[in-house]
Amino acid sequence: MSKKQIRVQIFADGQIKADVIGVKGKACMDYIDILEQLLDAETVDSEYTAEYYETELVDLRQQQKNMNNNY
Amino acid sequence: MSVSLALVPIALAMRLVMGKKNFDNWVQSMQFSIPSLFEKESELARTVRKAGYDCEKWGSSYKTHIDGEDLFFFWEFLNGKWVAVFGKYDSRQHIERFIANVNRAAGKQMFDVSTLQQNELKTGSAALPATNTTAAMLPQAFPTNFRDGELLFKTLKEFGINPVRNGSVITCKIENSHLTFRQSGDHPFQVEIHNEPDLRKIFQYLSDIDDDYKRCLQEVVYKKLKARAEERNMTIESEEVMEDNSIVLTLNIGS
Repeated sequence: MSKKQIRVQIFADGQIKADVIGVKGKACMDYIDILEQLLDAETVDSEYTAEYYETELVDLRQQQKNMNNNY
Repeated sequence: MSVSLALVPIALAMRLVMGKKNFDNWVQSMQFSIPSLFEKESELARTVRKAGYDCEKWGSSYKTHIDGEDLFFFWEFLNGKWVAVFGKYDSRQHIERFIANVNRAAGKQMFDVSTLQQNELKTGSAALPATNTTAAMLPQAFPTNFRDGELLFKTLKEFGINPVRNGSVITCKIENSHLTFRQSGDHPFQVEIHNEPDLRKIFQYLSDIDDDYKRCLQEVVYKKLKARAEERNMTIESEEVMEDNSIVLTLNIGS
């Protein structure tokens, strides 16, 4: 199991880049608020990475399977 | 990695590119404000979009493009109303068309005509024609990236000039020019420059202050992050200063 981490890079011009690492699917969204609170900052851009979409794919397959079972 | 974020500290408005090479851009960013009758964010965004423009949340402001990607302005909330803050050298034609379209979308005049007329008297031909618009010209007032008064005061002090603070107004003297930094609410400070024999020189000072402010802010954010991470039982896995002077902290966030 991969480590759950946040990597924060604070640039000399004040801008900040933050990556949430190892948190699966939509759970990583919770960290947007947490990071804004930790840094007293506002998010101006966000990008989901391959890991997020891979997890979503698994979720969709699971949802489909559950639906099939219900019928 | 599952999500990657770009953030801007609340203390900073990343609007202006300062620096020695950007003097002309900065001069052109001299602002004038056109107060609107919009009071609610939702009403502002809905009407502006209905008029065919974007209205994108940008920190505590909104950003609207009025000529493709090239020309945009910010909406700021001042004294209970949303105010459109344009650059003094922005295309009058586009501004007028924008205002007319918004009025049409709203089905009524959304901009205060009386204020425009007063300002036309003050500013002469530089103001918009007396159609259905308003313009509160702010002579020699320039935008800045500063939003935190404490930090600005500290930066000015460390810069070696003696700032004086009176409420939200900070004044100081650089060579023979008097600078007045004013802030409305939590919006970015504007700087008024009085007696500027050499505006280019003042701009260079302000660029240096901008750099120092950002450096101070980097330190503040770094210290705050470490302290708050500890409060939340996050442990620091690693900490590194990179070649570009950025600081990278990796935090373990547990299960």
